[in-house]
Amino acid sequence: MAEVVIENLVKRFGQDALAVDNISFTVREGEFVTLLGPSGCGKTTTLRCIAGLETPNEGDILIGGELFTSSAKGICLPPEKRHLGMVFQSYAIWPHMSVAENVAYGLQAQRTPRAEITERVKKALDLVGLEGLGDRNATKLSGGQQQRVSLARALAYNPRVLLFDEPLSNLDAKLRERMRLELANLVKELKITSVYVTHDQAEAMVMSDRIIVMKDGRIQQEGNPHATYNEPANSFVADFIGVANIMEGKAAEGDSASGVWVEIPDLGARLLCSSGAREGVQAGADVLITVRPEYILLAENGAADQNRLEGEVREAVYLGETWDCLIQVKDYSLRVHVRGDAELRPGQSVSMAISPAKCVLLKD
Amino acid sequence: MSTDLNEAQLKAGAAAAEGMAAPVSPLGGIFNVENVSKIGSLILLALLAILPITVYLFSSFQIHTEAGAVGFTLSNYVRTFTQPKILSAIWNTLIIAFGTAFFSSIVGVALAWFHARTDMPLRGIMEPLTLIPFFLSSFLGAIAWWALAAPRTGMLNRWMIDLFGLSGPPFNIYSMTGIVMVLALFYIPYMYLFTIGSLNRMDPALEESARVCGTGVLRTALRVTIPLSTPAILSGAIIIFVVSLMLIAVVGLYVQRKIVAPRSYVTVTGKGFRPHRVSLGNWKYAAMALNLLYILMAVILPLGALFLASLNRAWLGGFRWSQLSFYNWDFILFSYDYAIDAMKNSLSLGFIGGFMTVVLCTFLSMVILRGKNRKLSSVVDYVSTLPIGVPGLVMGMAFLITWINTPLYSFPLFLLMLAYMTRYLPYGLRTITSVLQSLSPELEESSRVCGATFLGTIRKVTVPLLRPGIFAAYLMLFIMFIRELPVSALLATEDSTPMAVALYVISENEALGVVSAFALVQAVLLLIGTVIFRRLGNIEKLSV
Ligand SMILES: Nc1ncnc2c1ncn2[C@@H]1O[C@H](COP(=O)(O)OP(=O)(O)O)[C@@H](O)[C@H]1O
Ligand SMILES: [Mg+2]
Repeated sequence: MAEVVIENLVKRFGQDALAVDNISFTVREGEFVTLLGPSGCGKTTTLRCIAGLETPNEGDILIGGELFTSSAKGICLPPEKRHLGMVFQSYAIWPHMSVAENVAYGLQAQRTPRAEITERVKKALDLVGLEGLGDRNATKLSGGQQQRVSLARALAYNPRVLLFDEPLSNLDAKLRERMRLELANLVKELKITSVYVTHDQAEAMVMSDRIIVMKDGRIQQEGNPHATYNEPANSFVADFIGVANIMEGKAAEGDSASGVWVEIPDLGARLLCSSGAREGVQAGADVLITVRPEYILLAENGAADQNRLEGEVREAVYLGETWDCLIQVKDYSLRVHVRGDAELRPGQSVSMAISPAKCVLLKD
Repeated sequence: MSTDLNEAQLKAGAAAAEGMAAPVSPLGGIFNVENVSKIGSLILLALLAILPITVYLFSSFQIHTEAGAVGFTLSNYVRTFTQPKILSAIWNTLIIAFGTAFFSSIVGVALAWFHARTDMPLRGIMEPLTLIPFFLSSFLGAIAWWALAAPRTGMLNRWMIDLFGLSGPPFNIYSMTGIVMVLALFYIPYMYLFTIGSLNRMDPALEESARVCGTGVLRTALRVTIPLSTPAILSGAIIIFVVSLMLIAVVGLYVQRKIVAPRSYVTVTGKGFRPHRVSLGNWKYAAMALNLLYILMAVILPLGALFLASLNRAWLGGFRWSQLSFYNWDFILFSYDYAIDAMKNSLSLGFIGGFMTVVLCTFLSMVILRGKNRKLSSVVDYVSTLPIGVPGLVMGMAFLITWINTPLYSFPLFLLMLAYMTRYLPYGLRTITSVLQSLSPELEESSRVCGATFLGTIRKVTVPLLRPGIFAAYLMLFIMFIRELPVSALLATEDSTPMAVALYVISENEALGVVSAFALVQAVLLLIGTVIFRRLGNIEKLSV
């Protein structure tokens, strides 16, 4: 168990293919941090640099205060000396070994006494819910069970840090949802520092202490799931995580105590925005703002300090717990989630209220 | 000369070191086991494949006089290409190579199609028999067919004359047709193996949709099935052409890699489909007859002729019960030292040399497929394929002039082994890389992350998973080493004579009975080796 520090990591493949573009972050001891981003954004590459499977072109990697990788000093500890655990996207279960042999592998590599190996293999298999399956041929197991074997294998030798590369992406949807929680709970119970890579925002939300959103090899935002969802830093994050209404506008005046008034031509309205990148906004500056669909409330007469909008329902899809609807406000189709008990039909006029705290100013 | 060698060596070494240093940073240790073993195999590759060929090419531009080698000249080439005798030899060789490639392609592809896609009867029994010539040497075929169809003494000729009262011998093995026939008989299994994999993997729906559109069986085969296997067929035909042509065929190789390789048709669509076979109707008996005819000509007649000949002390063009004797066998196995030494040499070349080649191929395939430096990987890939294009005689010559003045020449068997390794490296490498390609690199990476070292990972993960590939490669190399002739002909000394050369020498000096017995010993060794390796490696199906 240890802290992971990444400093100014750069990884190029070939001359101009920049996979990781100068990223830095820290994973505290026992923390569960997720690298989240669309495919090709450099998550796997970052993880493989931590594991020692790739040598970065620039930057340092420290684990538990020890310098594992430093391109300036020409250090790159081979993977087997790092004492980490890794769960691969393909599980990478060795087909020529039984389940128990797979799990025992890391312990054998460290020359653990045989009696202890047997005991720890059993413990690891119990932990992931595979008791009694040790003698099975690993490749004959189901996808979910193979997933557990590869987790048990990584856990068996008490690694300093656990690395996960989209471990759930090959499972079917139901199983994936169940495994999310199970995996996160297990890892948190064991208090192992974990770096988790996924492109699935729901997975990141459920599991992580902290989410690092990446795009094109750069970090877009770093924060806990709540902050990442409620105060996305830029339009990429707002759009990538959940559903977002993103609107262009002009700051009517500078930042004040209550927030920034933004003139939005498409809506033909002014919205007071008190979240996000408020600081230093000058009057007349072009800004982008975002509002989540569920924070737009239908209200005949809401509180006085709320932003008000009038519109007409264009489409309404009933999902049971909510209505997913598009409401036309002048030139903008606002995506709004309305509670399922409301009565809605296309063509209906509605008035809406949005709390200024839910109107987020974006950085780009 | 020697300065050139050193320079070439240095360059190759430097290139290897540079390539390997890039992915692993200096303080991480250039001199760890991983790099040392990889760089070692690269240097070995350079020494084996590049150096002799370079020296050889270089010396072809030199004239050697008593004062030593004289600078750069094209006169060797001019002389070669203006001598009518050499020109006609080249022309004949071209015709033979073309004829061989042509006929072995047609029959080989037809047989592969019968076995893979049709309801021809007796497929299970005929398949191993059809493949036997692959494990024998074409020289053995030549001797056997000489015994069968030599104009005056050939067994077949005698029978035909006696049976039908012909005035002259119907067969002549010394003709161009005869040579092409014997060569084609022995290359047909290669073509079969080149094609069968692609035919087996083909989705029957591709054919069925052609049938539904109203195309007949034969038309479907010619318009859909065969064209879909074109890459495999073409590359097989080109390799056979090149091999039988025995020319420096870097050009041919280039054609094979650039023109054929990129046209990879994806014929693998679904998994686990049950290959539906084309029904040939009564034609299936014709197919079976063709296959049986092939087995008769390529296996039963040659081996039978040799066997009969080995049981008569003196051969007069036909087997005589009255002369039945085991003298030839006794002589070859127990008292003819030359033959016995040759068997020992060949067995050690086959087992030890094959083993060393397999080890080298394993490391090289890891550099090619798992190396982080793409450029280095493709250079290694290309260089290690080069020997395919170098005919055995040239390879032998190149090794001879490169090493004759070095201490290495006092270990002729070892030198011979190095030359074998070089010549057959591409074949072993191809077999192993094709298996390694199908293994996810994550299997090895996860072993490293679990704390196993580079060598530990190779031992416990890579090699066990590569086992079928490694044994298939070992088997193929064993076979090729045991029947290797051209390289050995140039490099072997009296003490290091392998079986193939001994067979040649014996065939010049001894009676047919002795020759036949010795040829059969070679055949039996090859077939036993085949069985052992296939057992050990769990190789079910052979493929090239
Ligand atoms: N071995 C490699 N060689 C060349 N390019 C690579 C290699 N691995 C990754 N890349 C490139 O680097 C970028 C980041 O890849 P990766 O880290 O795998 O993304 P992610 O895991 O976020 O989907 C991609 O554009 C990918 O094409
Ligand atoms: Mg990835």
